[in-house]
Amino acid sequence: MNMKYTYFSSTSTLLAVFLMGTLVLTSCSKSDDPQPDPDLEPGTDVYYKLHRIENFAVETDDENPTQAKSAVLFSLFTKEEVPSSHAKTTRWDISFNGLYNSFLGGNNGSNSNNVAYGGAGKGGVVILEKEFDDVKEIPADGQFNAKSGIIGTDDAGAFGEGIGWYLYDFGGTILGDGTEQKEHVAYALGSPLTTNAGTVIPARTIIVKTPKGDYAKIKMISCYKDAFIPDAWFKDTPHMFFTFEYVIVPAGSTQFEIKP
Amino acid sequence: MQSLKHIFLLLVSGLILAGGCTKTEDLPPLSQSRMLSFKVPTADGDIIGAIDESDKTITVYVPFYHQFAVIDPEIILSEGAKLEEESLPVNVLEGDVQYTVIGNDGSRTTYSLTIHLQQITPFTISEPSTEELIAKWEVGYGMVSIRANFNTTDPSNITVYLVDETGAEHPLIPNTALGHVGVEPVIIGDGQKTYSFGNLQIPQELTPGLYHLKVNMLNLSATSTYPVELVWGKPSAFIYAPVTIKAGETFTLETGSISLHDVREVSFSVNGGKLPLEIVEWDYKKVIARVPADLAPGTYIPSIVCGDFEPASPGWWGITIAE
Repeated sequence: MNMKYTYFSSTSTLLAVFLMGTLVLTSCSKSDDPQPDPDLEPGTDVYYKLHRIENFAVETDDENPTQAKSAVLFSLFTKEEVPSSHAKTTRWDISFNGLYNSFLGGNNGSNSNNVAYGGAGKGGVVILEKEFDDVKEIPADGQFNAKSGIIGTDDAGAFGEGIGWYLYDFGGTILGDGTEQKEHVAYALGSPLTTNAGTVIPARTIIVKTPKGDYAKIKMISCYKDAFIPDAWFKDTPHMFFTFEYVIVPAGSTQFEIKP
Repeated sequence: MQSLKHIFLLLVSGLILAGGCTKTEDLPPLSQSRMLSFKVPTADGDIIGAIDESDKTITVYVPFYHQFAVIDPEIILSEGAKLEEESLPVNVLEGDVQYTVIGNDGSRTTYSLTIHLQQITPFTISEPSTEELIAKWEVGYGMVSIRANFNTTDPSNITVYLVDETGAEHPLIPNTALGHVGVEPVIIGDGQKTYSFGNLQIPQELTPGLYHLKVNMLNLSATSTYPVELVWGKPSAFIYAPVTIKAGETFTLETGSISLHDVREVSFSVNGGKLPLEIVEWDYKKVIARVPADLAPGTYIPSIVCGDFEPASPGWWGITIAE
């Protein structure tokens, strides 16, 4: 009898403790998993829309054409220049480096040749010989170049460095009429161009992986102020005033698309 | 009897449970304006800031090797709370940054941020001069390299000055005309590793005299024990600017490196001889000269004489006199 009572007492106590624990866990606990402040994330209303930037100006000094200025950083989300002191943050998406700040790159903190080196950015750039509207598929991550200043002069012009977003007509004879005012003109290759020799240079489209993993495709239209077609570009046309159009899609996307 | 015991124990358990929950509810409610997390994303993981609720402080240790000029924290707050002001990148040398969190319940909590920038000390620069031998640098010279234990390859965190005798600081200018201006690790004679920062240009507007070298890198600074002496030099690099003018007009010759001084002569080389030109005006950067009205068309190589130095000339490009 005594033994049985003892057994019963222990079981009841265990049951009570179990019940109590269960109830306490279910009634008094609360999920405290912290979530990032949504205000810190860039607005999502920029996705799937065609954006246009006109005359984004960077400082130019024609009297010292071989002296490169500091990199200029630009956010595709805020559509504003980002201070160079913020280079190692993820607040910018493309950089303009090198001579005349005409060489583009992405924001990547893991590449020692990127101005964002050390930061958390995971971006890059790649250029395709394809018209902007025809670029649908997002390239594989391995195709993006993580260096700064990697896309600039095209091999079809002077001082070419691979496939570039512009053709530099040093002597004014590749696309120009050979006059002095057509010398040293930089022809943006957002649309196909035909050289004086009859060669058709396909349009180029730049693809950007942003530091936070979104993707943008960019059509470079001009680097001359208020002049958006080749006929309006001359040696003395005010420069560098970048005009370009772009579409951003969120991380994880496989296609570029514009939604109403 | 057994049933009564079961009922009794369940009742007791219920009472304990009821009492337990009641006691939890009686605790003072948690602040709704808390900062739950403060972290700085980097290329190789997050730097976690320590939040101390007792004195409302955030402490972040930033290692030198990240080479950060600013930190851009990701902040997590109590549910429904928001920051009074937008969180912006913070200069790592900033001493007084506060975050005010406004809770869902209207409560406000202000946190103070302290950034400890972890740099290797002492910060020492290689002295260009010694007690016995003062280094001489030409005013405007554009290939100065500074060696120090920078422990960084990011030139944006470094500023080099020449400090004159009045204490005025004159920053040296990154000279991109010679290519990339960067910081490179180098192994010096004794096998030790140091860093070289260049090319830098001495400001062309400075005048000869003794200057100390001062180098700032983030929150560290070092000044040379011995001064360097700035002296005049012979201009050696002119900015490429071939021009076409007519006889009787002026042209400008501009130095890209060593400053002009005491410009005594500007001339063209003509048929193996020297044709002196009228000096209209000059300063440390450029000289404007006029060509004779009767000068025959053609291309002429100009040269100038500064002080007692030999003539200096662009050498391979000239001034074209049009018909």
